[in-house]
Amino acid sequence: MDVLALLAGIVGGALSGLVPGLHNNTLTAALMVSGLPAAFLVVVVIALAASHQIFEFIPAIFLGVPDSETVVSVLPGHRLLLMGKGLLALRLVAASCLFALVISVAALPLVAAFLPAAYAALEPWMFWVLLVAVGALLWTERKPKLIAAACLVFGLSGALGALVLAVPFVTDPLLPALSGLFAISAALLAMSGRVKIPPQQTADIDIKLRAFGPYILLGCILGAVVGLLPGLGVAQAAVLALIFVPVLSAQFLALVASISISNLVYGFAALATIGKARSGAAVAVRDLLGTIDPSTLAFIIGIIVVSIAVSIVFLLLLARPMLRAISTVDPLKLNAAVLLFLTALIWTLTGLVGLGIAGIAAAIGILPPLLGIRRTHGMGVILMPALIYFAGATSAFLAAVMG
Amino acid sequence: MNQAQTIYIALFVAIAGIAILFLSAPSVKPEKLKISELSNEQLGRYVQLEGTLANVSSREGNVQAKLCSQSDCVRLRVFYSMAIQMRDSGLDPYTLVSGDHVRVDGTVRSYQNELEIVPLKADSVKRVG
Repeated sequence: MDVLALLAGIVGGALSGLVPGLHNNTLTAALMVSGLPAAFLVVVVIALAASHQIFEFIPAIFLGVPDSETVVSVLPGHRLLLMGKGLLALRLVAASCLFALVISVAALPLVAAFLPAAYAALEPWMFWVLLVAVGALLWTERKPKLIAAACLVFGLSGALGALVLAVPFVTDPLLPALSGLFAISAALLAMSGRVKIPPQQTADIDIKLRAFGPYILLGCILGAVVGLLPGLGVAQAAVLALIFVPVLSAQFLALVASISISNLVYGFAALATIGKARSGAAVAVRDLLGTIDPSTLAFIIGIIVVSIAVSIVFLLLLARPMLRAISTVDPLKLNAAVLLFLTALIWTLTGLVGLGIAGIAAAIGILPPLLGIRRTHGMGVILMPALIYFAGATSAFLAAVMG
Repeated sequence: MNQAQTIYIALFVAIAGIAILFLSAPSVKPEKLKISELSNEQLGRYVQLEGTLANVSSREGNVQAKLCSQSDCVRLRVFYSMAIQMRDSGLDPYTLVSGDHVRVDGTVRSYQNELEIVPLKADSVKRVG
């Protein structure tokens, strides 16, 4: 039963990771209403979340269309592909995820012991912590003109997020909002640019741990920090790292990959130690199991380790055939197919209103590349509602908006 | 279309779209349902339920109760932060008792495989009858 659930979760994670715009939370939400036994569902949901973390890098690298967590990996990953180094990008992601998993699990007892005290100390200051983090994100643009543009994109995406997450226009507002901001806008821009993918180098590549080790370690630390804080995710952690570290493209990809794995592990540690769910998978596990004790956390980590190991093996096996195929595909047709798929998905799950939200989000999402700033400022869609929540203004905001 | 024109069009669509969402927000009304009609299909939806409270309790500031019709019940949960705001805006959830007949506007959620309704706003729980 557990093995079947594990395999089902890995396949589900591969599906949600490979299909642009399809978040593992969407599949998890569908599973939660499937009526399957809770013990089976828990394993599926965790394996799905873990496997998704690996496979989501494929559309980010190959198509340049990420989800909310891989959004900042698009630039380095897709850039390597456009340089004919897609294999390096995939192997780097695999190696970084594997090392990050080992480090995160090894440090788990120490971090789990530290989390409750850290959260208790931070909670009253959460609004200010988030505000400083937002300020730092905007400040990474350095030049005043670019900071102003970043404020504009953050403000627009924040206003959209505050509205659609507070007012129940549709049942799953993040699907159209994130798809529009990141996937649809990227596909539209790619279609207008007609980027041609060159033949890929498929010779064996050695990845020198010494060059990437410090970035993987930094990724693990940042993943633990954002696992603790609501509203902040992998993308924000990676951009925050840019304040301190001048990161080259390949190193930055290693950093993002390790943040996503560390964030997954410590997200469940946060659920077990402070009872706070920081991801869709954690919310689902909390709903299914209630409280998480240390032995349940060990079981969860076991599922994560196996799922990630299996997913990495598949990623490496598929790397060369995928690289050979991608350089033969017409990018215009590929991006048109992505757009059609996302439109059908959003229409089916959220209806016309959802499509409208996706359209508004896409209009915001195409601004950053045109204004010369990072696309991650679109994460205002999640950060602004978190700021409103920690300011204790959710109810006042709803009263002002809905009357 | 040049880059500047694309930027202006995108800005117009974004601002106009957000303005339309803002203006249409007051017209979003809950779907009136009977407690017996609730199922997993309503997860995440904004609904209005009416019923009689039973097993009212509060723990760590959160208020929890059963909202029942003659034959069915669903859990009503008011989290601490919302409970404080509700108290400030008229109905103190800590004064709710079993037997109160209430109307609740809220979103349907699932907790430990059981459906529950969580009030959306500070004025989303009203005593009726």
